[in-house]
Amino acid sequence: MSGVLPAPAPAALPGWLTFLRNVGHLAAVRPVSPPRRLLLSLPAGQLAAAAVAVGAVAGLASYRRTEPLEPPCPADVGARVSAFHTEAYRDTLLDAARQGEATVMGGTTMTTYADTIRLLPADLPERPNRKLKAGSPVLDAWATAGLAGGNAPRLHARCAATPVVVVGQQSTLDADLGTLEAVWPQCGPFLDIGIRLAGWFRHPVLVCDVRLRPPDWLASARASLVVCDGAAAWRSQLRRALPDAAHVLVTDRRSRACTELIEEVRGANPSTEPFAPAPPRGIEAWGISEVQVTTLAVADDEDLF
Amino acid sequence: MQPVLLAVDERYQAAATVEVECHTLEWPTMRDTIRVLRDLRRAADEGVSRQLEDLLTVASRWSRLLTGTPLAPGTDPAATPEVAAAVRRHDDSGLDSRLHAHLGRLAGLLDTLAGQPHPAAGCLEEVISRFGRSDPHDPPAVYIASDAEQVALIRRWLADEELDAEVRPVTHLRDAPIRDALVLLGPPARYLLSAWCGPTQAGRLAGWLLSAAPAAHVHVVTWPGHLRLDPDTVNVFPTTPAPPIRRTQPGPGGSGGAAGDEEPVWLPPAAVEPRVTPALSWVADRDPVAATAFRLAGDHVVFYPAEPGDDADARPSPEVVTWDGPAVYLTDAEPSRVKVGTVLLFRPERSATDAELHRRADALLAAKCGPGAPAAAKAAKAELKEALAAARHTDAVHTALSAALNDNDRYARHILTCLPDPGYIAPERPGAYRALRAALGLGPDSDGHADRLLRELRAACRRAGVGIAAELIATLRATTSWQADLEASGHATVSGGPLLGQLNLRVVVAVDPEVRHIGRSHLGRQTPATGDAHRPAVAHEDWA
Repeated sequence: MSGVLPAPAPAALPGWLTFLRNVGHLAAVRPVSPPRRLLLSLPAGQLAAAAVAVGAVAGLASYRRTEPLEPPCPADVGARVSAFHTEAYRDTLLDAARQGEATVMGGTTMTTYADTIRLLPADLPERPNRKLKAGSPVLDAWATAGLAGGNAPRLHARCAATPVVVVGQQSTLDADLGTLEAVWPQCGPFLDIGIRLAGWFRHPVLVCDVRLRPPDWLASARASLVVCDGAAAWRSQLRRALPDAAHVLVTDRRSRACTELIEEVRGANPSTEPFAPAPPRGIEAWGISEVQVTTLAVADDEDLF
Repeated sequence: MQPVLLAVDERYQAAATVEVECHTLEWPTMRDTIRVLRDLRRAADEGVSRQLEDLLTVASRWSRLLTGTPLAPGTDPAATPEVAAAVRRHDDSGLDSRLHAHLGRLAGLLDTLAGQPHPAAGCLEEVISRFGRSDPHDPPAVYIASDAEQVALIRRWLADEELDAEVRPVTHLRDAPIRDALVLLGPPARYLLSAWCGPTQAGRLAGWLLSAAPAAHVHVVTWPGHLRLDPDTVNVFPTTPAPPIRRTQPGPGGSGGAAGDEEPVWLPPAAVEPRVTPALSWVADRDPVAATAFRLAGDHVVFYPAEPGDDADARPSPEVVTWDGPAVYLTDAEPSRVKVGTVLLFRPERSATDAELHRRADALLAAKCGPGAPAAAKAAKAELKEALAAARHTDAVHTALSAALNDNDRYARHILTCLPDPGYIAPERPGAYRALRAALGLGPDSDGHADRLLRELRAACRRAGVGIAAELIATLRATTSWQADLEASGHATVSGGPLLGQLNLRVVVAVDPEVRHIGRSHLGRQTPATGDAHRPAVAHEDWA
């Protein structure tokens, strides 16, 4: 996994790909207030969302963030939790939590992976366990990624607690990752993409369709980064339901929908925020601060009709 | 590297290193001609004869041809002498005598133009000759961007001049492979300027022809009749500096703008052809509804309810198509959200789709609830509707229903006065359904059997509808030629096969500010705007 971190030789990686990876890296690991919004206008729409996601996950895996990853406290006893335990992600109830000591979950005393325990939102639907055995492509990719500061499952769990949400088409993202394997070997298993939001706490990257209606429990979950693949993704309810995360819009300069969206954004006169690194020639980047991002009121129409 | 990665990398490299050169050509006679035409157009807005309106439409097509191609003005198909003769005939007829000076000057200028070569011809020859194929089997090294309807004309001209270049409609250049050079005939905005897309918007939408062009060099050849090339519209973000554009043969004042014009001197035909308004005879109907008229590209009009009414189910809503690259989205929008430029989908053969929907819904229902379920559900639905029809405007039923629904008077009044949509099944809430049955005197629903059956029917209809919508979107995704057609002419047709029939897509070019009362049956149907094309009842300005 040396393809993701550290970077391969500069000659092997085009400048635009390095820039996109760095955008994801910086946007995910440096939360600022108000949350950062970065709009990218690119000569081609392909590969961009995947490259940003690769950078974001690689950054998250090596970044020591604590908030919002505090361990459960005694007051949380009885709550639903998720943890990595005996080669699987499991949802169960927290039996006991003692500061500095072993934490008991579902009748099992957690020692090695106690720091993978996360409180689940109360109304997160029930899910089957997710097996993630040693030697699986995902853990292999994480083990060989050149990441420091913990073993693969622990790093994977930490990223999955504040995942990167890609709003776009799953098939496109899968195809793009397949293409990027040429420069970042194993980037597909490394991203370990989960489908829709049910994979929260279990996958470092979740891909969701633009039409997905955000569930109520999303208000109590935290994403690291929202990557919007195209104009429709930027307009989606899902993006608006994650206002505290950084948002990156990747658009194809040739797309009419993207130009129209940017016209709308310009019309709202947002304040321009500086963003590093400077884009290479041929790429336009615009950092803005969105004044107000609120969840769109879901039409609570009378269903009598 | 993978082929896809190589192709994307090539596109990024082209965008990073593209060199833009603007060739501004002088053509004083054409500049003066266009100015006279513009004056006549303004005069026409104040009222001129029908013959002059026709003549201006001809002149507009003539100017469009000479601003989009390098063809010699004196030869076919520009046929400048014929246009000059028509102008002179009109001048001699004595009609519009107050414009005699303008018409005389126009005829004189056209006569002069007929003997002149097109200045772009020499420039194009010079630019194209700079590039060549390295191998005879290679494709041409130069693209020429054209309007869709002028592709054949430019190809013929290239063949006559023995020049090697590939002519493509501008919308087909988006995904074109990278070549050595791209030649634009006029600034990028010219290609998208239309009745529903003004100069600024067109400039931004077409800015990719300079900033993400499928070529290493872009040559903009511009002459009088074009908009000024505005580098500020090339980039979409305000923070990005305007790209360097090398200018050759700058115009007067060094501005480089063709003829120094700030406004388009060539206007798209749709803007000058007489606008029509919906025929007022449509108003006569026994069931009038307040509606807004939306004028569609291709001389069609459609009405949608002006206000959301209580009987929302029985009113059609616009089906809006949006797309973002290969992704296509279909949404039911509120009519108030339909603006100029919105793309609407029409399914004239919808009855076949509806029949298929019911067939699929019945199959789903039968698979889940048994073979007799579809017939039983339909009987339950019909029973309720018949009882509703019999009880329309009945005060006693209204009072009973209102009380049973916890004084929901609005709903009780509505359900007893509106005409239920053919697709209406039953009240969705079990409480409302039971209360309605009781108020209508239908007797209790034993074990909630009918309620459950109607619920299953509703679920089956929704599942079938989702399936058909998915097929519809897949059809639109499978072909992208309609996107190019929409940009070129404002309307497109896609074949949806035996299930979906013919799908029509049209751009909204104007919204009628006046609310009209029209028959309910006219709502949501695209109809040819069959008014008196030359005597619009609504002035052009009203269709802002």
